[in-house]
Amino acid sequence: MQPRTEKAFGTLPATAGVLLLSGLLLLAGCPKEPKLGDPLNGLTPEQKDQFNRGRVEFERVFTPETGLGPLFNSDACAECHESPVSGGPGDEVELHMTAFLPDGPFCDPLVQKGGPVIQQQVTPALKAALGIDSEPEPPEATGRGLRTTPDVFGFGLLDAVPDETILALADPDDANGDGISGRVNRFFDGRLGRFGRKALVPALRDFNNGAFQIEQGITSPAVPDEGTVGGQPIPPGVDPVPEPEITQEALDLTDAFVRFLAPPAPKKLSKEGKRGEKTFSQIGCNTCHVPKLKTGNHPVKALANKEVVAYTDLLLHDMGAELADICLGLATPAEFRTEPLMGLRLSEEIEEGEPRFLHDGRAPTIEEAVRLHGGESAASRDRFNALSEADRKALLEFLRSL
Amino acid sequence: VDTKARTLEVMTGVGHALRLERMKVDPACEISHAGKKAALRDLKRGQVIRIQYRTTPEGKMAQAIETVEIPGGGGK
Repeated sequence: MQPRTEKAFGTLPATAGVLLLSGLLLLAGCPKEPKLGDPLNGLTPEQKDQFNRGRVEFERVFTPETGLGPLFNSDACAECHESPVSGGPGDEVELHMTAFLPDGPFCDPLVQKGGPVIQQQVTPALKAALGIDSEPEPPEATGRGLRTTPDVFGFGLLDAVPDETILALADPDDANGDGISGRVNRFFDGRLGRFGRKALVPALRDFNNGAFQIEQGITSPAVPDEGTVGGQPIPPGVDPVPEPEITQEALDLTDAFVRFLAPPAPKKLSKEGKRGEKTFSQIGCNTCHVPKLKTGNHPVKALANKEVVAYTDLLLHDMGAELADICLGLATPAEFRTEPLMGLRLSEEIEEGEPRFLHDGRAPTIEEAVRLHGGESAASRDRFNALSEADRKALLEFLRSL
Repeated sequence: VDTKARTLEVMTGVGHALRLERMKVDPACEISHAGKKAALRDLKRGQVIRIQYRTTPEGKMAQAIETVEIPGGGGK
């Protein structure tokens, strides 16, 4: 007698066998959802190799002997973007300062005084030369903005969203009368901005290239000079490593790592969470925190024509006088880019330090961050405050799933 | 823009690593604004410009300056 299973297969009609085979092939071809810190699905072997080598650069710790400083905020990308894996948020907070000149109005990023990023650490050689522990704060500044460390997961997808998509979401004069008037920021060369809390930086590559110099004091072919110390030249002898301190290849690999990091997969929603997701839209949060954006054509297939569930419109919105700090580019002190909510839960689950929310970390909880919304978002905040406790809990559960 | 000294300061940079470039303007520098020939005094603070320059022993010298129109838009 034949074994039962063999007999069963033996009696399957030929068409069923083909269907079963097709089903198995489909399952085998379905890519697994990337884990936190994994690359995007669909990268070529060469791109995966760049990602893996880029992670090494992202985690590379610099010392004064390898180019760190003389001014810096951190000695490695992954020293700040660290929790729970490289690319995640961190507990470090940095300082930005600018001057808002109401005649115009015009924003002076105080570059001639070391702005807009005022580095908080110095190398021993710079301390010995100038006796300082951090870059001097420019007295001309009218605003002082603390900036927390965001995660960078999914930023390659945000970079691939076409300008036209962002422009189509803008409503600078609130023509539709909904009280929300998002507008674009622009870099000094006119390109549309999207990265940074004030959306000044137009492209992920610019952000990454600039960060090496401004955050670590590492010069590169993209930014070949160290800048100044509060506007004054760097004293001779304190930065002995010749420029550029890293190669174009290291820069490219770091960029590939950040660009190819997959967005964090949202947690599966409970029934309550699903109700919270609806409430999110009902009280108008989704007007600025637009749930999905779509990328355009892109030379990297894994980034082309993909939906990114980022919960942002990448536009500037007036958040009210209470949150106002610095101007930057076209952004007034009260205007901030809608913070992407993808990965929001990671800031709550941070492994070192206390959870911090909002651009400057003043809110210890997600709920407090919502309550501190002002300006254009005041109406949504008031609707949040007016929710029943059960509805509020459901909304927060949804937010904690992102 | 300092029309008397024929110098200008240009904000540039990469990401948040911003730089202020100080340049002299060559007397023969061609300046255009909105596609028409213009003068140094026509350039205003905050305007986006594209500059061709050469490096001289005295520093950077602008050879051609054109203003760049920024597209608007919106429709939410």
